Amino acid sequence: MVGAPRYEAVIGLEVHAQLLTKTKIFCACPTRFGAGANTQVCPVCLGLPGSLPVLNEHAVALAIRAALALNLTVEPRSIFARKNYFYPDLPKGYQISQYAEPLARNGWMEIGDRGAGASVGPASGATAGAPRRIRIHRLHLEEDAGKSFHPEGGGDESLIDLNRCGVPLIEIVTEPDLRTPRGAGEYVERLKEILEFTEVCDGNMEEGSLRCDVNVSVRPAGATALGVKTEIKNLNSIKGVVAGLEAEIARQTRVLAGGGAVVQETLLWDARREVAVPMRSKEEAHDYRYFPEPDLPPLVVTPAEIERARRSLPELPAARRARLVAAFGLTPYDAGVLTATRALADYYEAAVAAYDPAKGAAAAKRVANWVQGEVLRLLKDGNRDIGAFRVAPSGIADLLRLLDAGEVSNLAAKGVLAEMDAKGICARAAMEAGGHRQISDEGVLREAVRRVIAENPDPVAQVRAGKEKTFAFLVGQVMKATRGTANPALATKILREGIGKS
Amino acid sequence: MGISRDEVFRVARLAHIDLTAAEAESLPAQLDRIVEYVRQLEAVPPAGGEAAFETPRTPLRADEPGPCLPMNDALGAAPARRGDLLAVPRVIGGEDSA
Amino acid sequence: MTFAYRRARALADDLAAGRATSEAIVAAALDRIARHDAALHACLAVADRERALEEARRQDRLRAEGGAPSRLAGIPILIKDNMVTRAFPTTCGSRILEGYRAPYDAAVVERLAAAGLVLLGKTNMDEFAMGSSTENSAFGPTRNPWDLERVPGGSSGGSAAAVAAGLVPLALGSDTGGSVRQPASLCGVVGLKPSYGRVSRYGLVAFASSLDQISPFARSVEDVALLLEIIAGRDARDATSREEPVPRYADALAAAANGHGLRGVRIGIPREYFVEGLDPEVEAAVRRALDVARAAGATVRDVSLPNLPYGIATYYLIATAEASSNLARYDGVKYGLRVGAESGLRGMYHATRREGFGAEVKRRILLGTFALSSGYYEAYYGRAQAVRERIRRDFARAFEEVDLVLGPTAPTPAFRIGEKTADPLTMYLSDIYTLPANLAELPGISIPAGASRAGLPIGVQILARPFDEPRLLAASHALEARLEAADARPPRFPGDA
Repeated sequence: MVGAPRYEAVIGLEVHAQLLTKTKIFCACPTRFGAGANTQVCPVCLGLPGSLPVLNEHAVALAIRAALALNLTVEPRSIFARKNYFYPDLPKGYQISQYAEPLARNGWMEIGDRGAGASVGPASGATAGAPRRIRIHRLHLEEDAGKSFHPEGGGDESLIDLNRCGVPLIEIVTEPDLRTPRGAGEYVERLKEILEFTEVCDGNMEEGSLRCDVNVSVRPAGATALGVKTEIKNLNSIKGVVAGLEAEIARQTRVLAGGGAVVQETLLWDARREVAVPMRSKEEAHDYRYFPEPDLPPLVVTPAEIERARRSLPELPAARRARLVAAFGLTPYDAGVLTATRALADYYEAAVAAYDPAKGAAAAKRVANWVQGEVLRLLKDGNRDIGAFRVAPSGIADLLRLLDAGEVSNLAAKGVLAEMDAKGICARAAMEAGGHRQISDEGVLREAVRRVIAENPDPVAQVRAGKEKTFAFLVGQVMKATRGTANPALATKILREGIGKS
Repeated sequence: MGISRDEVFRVARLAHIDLTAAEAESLPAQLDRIVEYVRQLEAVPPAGGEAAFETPRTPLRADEPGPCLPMNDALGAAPARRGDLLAVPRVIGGEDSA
Repeated sequence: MTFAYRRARALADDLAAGRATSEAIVAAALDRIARHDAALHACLAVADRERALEEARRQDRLRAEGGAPSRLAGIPILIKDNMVTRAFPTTCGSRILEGYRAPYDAAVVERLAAAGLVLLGKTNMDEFAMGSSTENSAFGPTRNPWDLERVPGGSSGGSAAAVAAGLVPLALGSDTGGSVRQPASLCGVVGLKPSYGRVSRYGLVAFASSLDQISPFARSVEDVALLLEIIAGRDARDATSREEPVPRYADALAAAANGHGLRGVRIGIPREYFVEGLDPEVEAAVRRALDVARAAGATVRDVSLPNLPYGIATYYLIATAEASSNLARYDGVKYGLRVGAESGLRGMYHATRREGFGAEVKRRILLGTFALSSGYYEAYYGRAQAVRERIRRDFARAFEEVDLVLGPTAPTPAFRIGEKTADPLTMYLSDIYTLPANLAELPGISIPAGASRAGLPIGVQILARPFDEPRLLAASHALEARLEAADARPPRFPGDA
């Protein structure tokens, strides 16, 4: 509206990620998802009288890895703290977390650009799409709580499963550097990728291994003071993050534009109805009474340990994409598709190496077409990920070599690939077994062409009369007669010759 | 000046404890005296410097699974149970509302 | 042969020599408990007779085959009811855990069993270890065997009384601010609080996590040393238990025989100990102990612990803060008492904790919650931690000049039941000598040093540097022999005929 004040949003994100450890953070119970209720528990995670926590070394290693991948400084000494509150899925009546002295601080992550990009200041108001550095305030370790169910029509009870108590989490908190819902969605997307690539977290938002809370406030465009912020919880998909923010920003804008004031509150996102509902307001704001956990001495990390973790970091998604673009000439989009997961990226590069040890760009592009195309299609049809694909990277290479040698046509090769996946056999065997071998034998093709011409007098007459379109139909008939294995170029040539006679 | 009666009841809400009628009579005054007593620490200047005794570092545990409790041991003492789940009066208002 | 009041060491020798059987010893202990505990109320749970005798017989068989698991195998023991046991309920002296059966055993319970001791039951205590008289038990007080109208001390009053009345030769308690040393002093037995981190807290129901330690009671320093050997040591399940190796504490004592434990030892007596409220008879016992030590070759000098007067305030902020958090789990959801569910979740929490906790526990939870609450943390909890650090440094400086610190354990002998319950602060002030050792993580022992004119036991306390139990035990052992105050028997509980 002309003359109406414009508002900008200021967004901060808190992400909780479950770590890919075998056991819980303070006890040896397994962390497997989906176990029967209350079967993965012990005195420690149940908070039985007399129980004590002992820290899982792999949880620390993964947290350090995540911190380094996000450019945070790992503190040599950090302290666990108790966050005290009452809730039925919190057995001890406190959560062991970190407060004043977290494991890592002052990091960043880039959004808005797939790979290298100049850093842009957070207050620049850059529009979505320009590369921006989002500052990460802190990363710390803590334990997860159990799950409560509030059965519909279950009247006056809630039911509690404590399996999830004690699953290790890292909490990653940004500075309020984000400005748009899309930017926030992209941040979560990039963070998921990094955590997946580093094998820190599987990023499965549906199962709750990655959870997001957002803080958002709105202020007049160009103002420096922050507006009153609200918090939205229960955003369990990236779509939800974006939709939730869009809705809340619109609401706050309406309030401010109408001369009102935003009330600080916590909202729960209802994904079905796409609205954010205020949580029942409490008589008093939470006073968590944080104090250092007396059952756990300080966590000490040596420079040598940090160095070891740094050296064992895999290539991160952004860097990997940049390398694929630079070395193979892939487009940023293609590089993005091929690096959607670490496993897929590893698969792709192994296939390239198997096909062309010199890894030339042409070869890499060829492999890219096949992986992005047929491989992903087969995976999608079967709702699988690359780990369940029964064709090894070397199998892709073998298939491409058959294509290069003319032993199989492009069309047939798709069928061969499907056979290789379905039966777990090698390219040559799949080709033979399926009768996909390309026919380049002129004699055989002449015979096939002769039969097609004989059986299709009218179409042949049309072609001779000048109707080119019908020619394609006849080529199709030749392919059909040879079950798709006729060498297309040769078949076309022989057909043309055959029609041309007489 | 120790702690006021109102403050005692505010803290009791925070700690999720009700006082019996008798306690509501006597505890606030007792706590007032006790808080006043502990306030003597204000006379001690805030300290600086390193710890007298070396602070140990937390030991780490290998990430290997161990035995869990059988369900009847885990839930055996539960005041209310529905099958494999603990039952409590209905939680209203979402996380942290209690 | 009668066994009441025999030292554990003597019983062990009898067992080893075949002069006695564990079965007989355990049977006698059970008989004595059955006969005397009604008057004392030291026990909250007692073993099934047949089961206990079966275990005793098993120990006899192992011994006969040359496979006795330890020197103390076959000897009966009682433990405070805040250490979880599968075989007995664990109530912590509280209604909120009445009848609670833990599905696991505490680390010390496992060690006692592995060493072949026969666990005969759980003893009475101040609720959740909060108290200095055992009057705060939800199940009634324990009485002092020397005068049934008086308190045995607390919070480990049941264990102290049981050993003092000769029911069993050995018992375990827990000491957070003096809860083993003070009852030992009031009951005339030996009680040792080990260095923080010496004994695993896994399975000890937490009161104040940075102060609690499981502690042995016995009739002699040597017996305490024998028991300490069994329970001490790093436990992977307790992140605060230390790597320090466990010496053969009792063997070290034998080596320090003939008073060598005191020769050349430098003993400090803090000038801050002599305050108003210290009973003159207790002061006299302490001075006598110092004279005895000097005569045995120790040197005695004054030391100063300037922040000692702040110890009580410091302790009652840190301990209650940790306790307020440790006791949040008692909420009626997973175990223990539940009331008020019909008023909804919040109502259930409030009502359960109202009905389940006694007044002292409530007082401490409120104080601790207040000390941690927003706006007060820095001034209360934060400041207390800073003063704790100062107290630690005071001791470190003192231990540059001396090897041991000696003084009273408790300011008075046993007081009457009900005498100090009107004013909680008065009760707190009686911890003045014991709680600094918990704040500074030092080992401390109380040994009998005499009796008041009224015949009530008086103990003296000795403190040492962290993990210097060998020197502490050697000196205490030497002093014990010279003070000749050990092995007293309360007249009301004579030995068995």
